[in-house]
Amino acid sequence: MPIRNDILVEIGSTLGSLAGSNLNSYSALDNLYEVYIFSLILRACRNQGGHFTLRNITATHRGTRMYFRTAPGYISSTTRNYTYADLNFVNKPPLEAHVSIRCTGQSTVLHEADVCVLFKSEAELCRMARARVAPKSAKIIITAETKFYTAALGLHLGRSFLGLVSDFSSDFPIFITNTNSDSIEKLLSKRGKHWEHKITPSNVGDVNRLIGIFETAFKGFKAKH
Amino acid sequence: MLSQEEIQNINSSLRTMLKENGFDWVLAQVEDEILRGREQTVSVKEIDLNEAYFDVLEKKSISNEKFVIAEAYSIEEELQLLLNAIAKGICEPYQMANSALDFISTSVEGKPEFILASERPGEEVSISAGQLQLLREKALKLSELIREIQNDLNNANTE
Repeated sequence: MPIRNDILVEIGSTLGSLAGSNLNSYSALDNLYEVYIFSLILRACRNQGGHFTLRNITATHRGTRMYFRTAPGYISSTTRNYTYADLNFVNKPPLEAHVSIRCTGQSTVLHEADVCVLFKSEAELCRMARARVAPKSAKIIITAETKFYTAALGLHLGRSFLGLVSDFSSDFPIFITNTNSDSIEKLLSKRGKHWEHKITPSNVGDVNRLIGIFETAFKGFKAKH
Repeated sequence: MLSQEEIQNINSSLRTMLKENGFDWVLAQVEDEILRGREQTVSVKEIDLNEAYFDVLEKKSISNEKFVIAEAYSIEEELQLLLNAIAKGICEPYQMANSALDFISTSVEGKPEFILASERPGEEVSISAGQLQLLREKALKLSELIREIQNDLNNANTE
């Protein structure tokens, strides 16, 4: 059966009405994806019996406007009051979850963590310092490398993740994407690295599995500390 | 059944619409995937080798070896890639924003607003439930239209 004639006209007009949206640029969507994964980490914290509070750099968060970085930056900022989350488990060292921050690898080279969870003591140290200080990867519990794409990912993205984790002593590095890539999945599986694909709200099973993986990371943290 | 010419026409119309409405980046990512081709791991027996070359190679010596090959996508597959990309890049982000805003709203008083902001003053993008409400319906409609073409393509392949 041929497609109906007016379907392309309808698609054209719908695309036109979405063109002016704040969600029509790739950079905004890539950043939004990090915020979405950040929200899944908060869900996992809550599922594991933890409690989270949203804060910003200068004080407890009281408003409804939450600022997230569009490029990797330091935990402290004098220009923006960026948002992060305090994560607390009873009788355990407090943690923080951040979006898009710089951190230091074992080689003392600066890397970027798209979404991460680290010890609050390390984050406080970075916030209080006069200079801009990056947290050490050894103090990071979860590091998520997130990739939002509309097509299959190129292998170079998997290779750069392997490069990142080779210099990271973070407990739990994971590669997360909304799409998929057979070659990256094969590469990371053979190297024993965590990855999750097709992570979008419509893929409920995949999202629940990822939340479960974050819960396992929190469970490990609680057992160790 | 959709003819090759019809598929070609739908493909080129969608490409034009994406460009006209500022979604060039969706197209660029699809083009990259098309250029890479469909990767497969196959044994040497499955590779369409020039017979004369095969004789030189002494096929027995490599008959068990695996090779990675990249095959060009057909025009139906190229259209499927484009339709999937529109769904992923233009429709799904509204669900993503909604999901994150909904969850965060359970921990703040009032309706949350995400500001995606660089360190440079003035460079920011605001995302809130209020702004997205109408557009989310449009995105949902777009995903239904995309699904309709995908179903037509799948039916054409099974007929």
